[in-house]
Amino acid sequence: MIRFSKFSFSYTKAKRPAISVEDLSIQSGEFVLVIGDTGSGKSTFLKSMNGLVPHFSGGDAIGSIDVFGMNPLASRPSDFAKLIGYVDQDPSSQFVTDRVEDEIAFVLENLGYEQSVMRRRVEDSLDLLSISELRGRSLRTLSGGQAQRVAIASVMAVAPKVLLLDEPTSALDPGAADEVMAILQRLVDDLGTTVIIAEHRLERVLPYVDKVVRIGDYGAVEGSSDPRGAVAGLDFSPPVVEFSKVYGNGAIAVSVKEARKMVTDRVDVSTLVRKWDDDRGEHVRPEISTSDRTVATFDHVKIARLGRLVLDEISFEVSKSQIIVLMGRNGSGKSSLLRAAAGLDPVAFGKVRVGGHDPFALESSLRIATVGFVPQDPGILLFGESVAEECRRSDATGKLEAGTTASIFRRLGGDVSHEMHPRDLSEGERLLLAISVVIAPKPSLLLLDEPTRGLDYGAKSRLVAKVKELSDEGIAIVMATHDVEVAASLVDTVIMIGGGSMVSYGPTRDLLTHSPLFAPSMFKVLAPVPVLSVAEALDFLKAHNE
Amino acid sequence: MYAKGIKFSDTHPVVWWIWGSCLSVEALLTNNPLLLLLIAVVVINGASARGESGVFGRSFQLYVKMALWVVVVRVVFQIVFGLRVPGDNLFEFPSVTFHIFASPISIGGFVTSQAIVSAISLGIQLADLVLIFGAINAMSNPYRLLRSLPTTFFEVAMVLTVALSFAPEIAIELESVKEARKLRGLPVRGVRAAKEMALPILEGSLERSLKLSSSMEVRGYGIHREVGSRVRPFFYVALVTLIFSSIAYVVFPGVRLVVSVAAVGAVALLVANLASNKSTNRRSRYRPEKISTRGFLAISSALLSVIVFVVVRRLGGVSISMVTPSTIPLAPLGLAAIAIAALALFITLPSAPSFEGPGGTDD
Repeated sequence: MIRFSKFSFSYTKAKRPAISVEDLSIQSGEFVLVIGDTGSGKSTFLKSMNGLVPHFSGGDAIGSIDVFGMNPLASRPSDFAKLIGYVDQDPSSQFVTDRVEDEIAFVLENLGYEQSVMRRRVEDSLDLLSISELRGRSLRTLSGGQAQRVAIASVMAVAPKVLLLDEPTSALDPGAADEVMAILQRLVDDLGTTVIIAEHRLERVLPYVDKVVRIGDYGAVEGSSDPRGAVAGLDFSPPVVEFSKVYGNGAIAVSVKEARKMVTDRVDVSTLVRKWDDDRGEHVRPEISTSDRTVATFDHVKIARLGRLVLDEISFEVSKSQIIVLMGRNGSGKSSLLRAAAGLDPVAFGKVRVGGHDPFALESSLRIATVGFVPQDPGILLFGESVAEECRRSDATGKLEAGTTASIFRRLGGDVSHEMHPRDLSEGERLLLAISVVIAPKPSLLLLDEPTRGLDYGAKSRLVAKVKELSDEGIAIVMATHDVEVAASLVDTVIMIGGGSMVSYGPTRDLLTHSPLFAPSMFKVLAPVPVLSVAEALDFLKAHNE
Repeated sequence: MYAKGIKFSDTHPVVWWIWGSCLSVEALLTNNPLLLLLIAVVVINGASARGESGVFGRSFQLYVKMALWVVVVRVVFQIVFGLRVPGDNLFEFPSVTFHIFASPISIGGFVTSQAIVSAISLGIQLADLVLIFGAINAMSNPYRLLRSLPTTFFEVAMVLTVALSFAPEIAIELESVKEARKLRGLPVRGVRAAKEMALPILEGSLERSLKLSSSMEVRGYGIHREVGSRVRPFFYVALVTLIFSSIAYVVFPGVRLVVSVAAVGAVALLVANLASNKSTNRRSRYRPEKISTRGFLAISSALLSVIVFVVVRRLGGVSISMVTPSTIPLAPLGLAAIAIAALALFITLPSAPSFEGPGGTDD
């Protein structure tokens, strides 16, 4: 059992505590979800349980924590190695060795296990996470989902009582995320492991958990053994919860299954689907792909990386104001496609043209006025010491009128002091600042790579609104994302990539409602009615509810 | 390790380190370009036939390029700045004489074929050392060597291992910062750009190393650090003494006796430490690698090759002086000695191909 009482922790020189826990206990064998906005202290809370906070972070802790009889404030994190397994947000950054098998054995070696026991434990961990075929692989060659599973295996080798995971699914495609969640469920069910995870994409996790710990304003931590109650009180929550709040007469659904039952108890969906067709007729997107509106073209493009063909036969056009969402599993080549469009990598065959230019051949100043690219970690684009400096430099490099970037940032909703260091901004604000500096020189095409990673629901819906605004202003946007709900809420065009080529290209509604892996949750609830968002679903049900 | 003993078998990394050291001793003992070339051929063959796939295996190409550069640069330097070796004149290089502090320094002049031969020999000699180091790295992943050191060296080995993974990490960091600057339309060359790029790179790599150290800590690294605390200080003192005395031995010939005594003392301390630590060290090792019979045979062939080579050298069979390309002696005994070391490549088996998965590092 883990018990916090009157515990609070503050970073050095901070005015108020990063987290404070009045009284909280987590029972052995519980599956616990930690929720809270970006930057609310979820990671700090997790790390306080094995002593990484305060031993590795600095700062002061008062009060007491009891973790299965041990005190993290008095012991070093290494003393918890046998009791607590901890997996960080970015699994590949915590690999110590270079081979899968050695990585799993690392903890066993440190704790001095016998040869024979060690062999068995490594085997067990490989089997537990179904990765025995990866054993001889170099860690550098793993895909995101594989790396995540190896990281979990590397702490499960000593069979810890507690497993702490910081955003284990944020970098994963829906399929890989489901696999990881299923494994965690198995650890709780079969081994009685206490699993505590911090996660933003609640729709993936909620159906599994027993308890929700919420970190509110000023790091106040509250536990609740009623996941439904806890999520009902949030301003922004997953689609099924939002839906059931309105539709459920007080009942809260946390899974697609529950929400679906709510609906089928009242109406017969299979008869309703005809009404959808009557209402909408054939869903037609206005055809705008005329040549003067074309912003970018991909003509039989092949892309190779390290001598290997990653993408084959990519052909499509992007027109003004269009929003194209690229979807596909981890490692399917979405990033490679964006990099080629941004002119970072050459293409092996075929033609990429943005505004009539080959982006790879463009000089830097002309390129930033043609195509803008915000990579996965937007912070990497920011070099300045303050927001103001960042904006000034952007104006200077783009030869823009002074204040242009600052006004774009303000218009996008960047309501922060311009004296702040970009690093101290929230994830969402940093993303908006990066987008502002990229679109300031007025590129006709904006490329976004996984922009919603690590964003909470509030920041995500604000981003969706901004992207739509930019598209209304005439900018064409190509975005790669794993986030099905974000793709669904942008309702425009989707390109599915799989096995190194374009599987399909078409309107969001058609494509997402025909894919088992990438279907948004509201469609799963009302299938076969092709609804994409909560609002759409509610309107539709209201219109046809007797 | 994978398909047991039939087709593949990983050779113990120590085997290749000994093999490489033997070849470098031979390279240092001769200046006959034919012998040096044979060493290069053996080494390149070794890297391609017994090299591992993966990051370290691929890096051998870089070493080959570097080796070629070394030879070219050495010859060019000889032509332009080198001492005027008397002999058969090949051509004249325009000569300039500077007077610096009243002493004349002249550049250029007659270039003789003897001078070219000796420059090429010295170039290949240096290139051989570069190739040998690259080949050893390609044939035995440094991580594996570090894993087979005695447990007392574990902490030092661990630091080195992390450092090894750090270098490619910085290269990746540099690449991404450069790209980010390109995306912002900022320059990536020049002093100012370098200054501005240094901070984010340093920041990124520092962040990474902090993450790595916390990841090592939560997995119990150093949990038994109190156990050997009494012997530890002596261990480090001995190690540092050994390193410094070997440098001093080369740099200050006057104090060699004192330095040798210090070094012997340090080695004694290290051995004592190893022995006393054996009983207290509670760290264990996963699948320790053992040197196979083939490995021992390979080591023997390398050692035998050096012994034969030294004997041949005593007989005056491997050194040359003032020769032209047409009078380079064949030195058949020397060639035979090197061929003995090449036997190691036939004795050992190729290492199992590492499974390079289908990409996946893309997103």
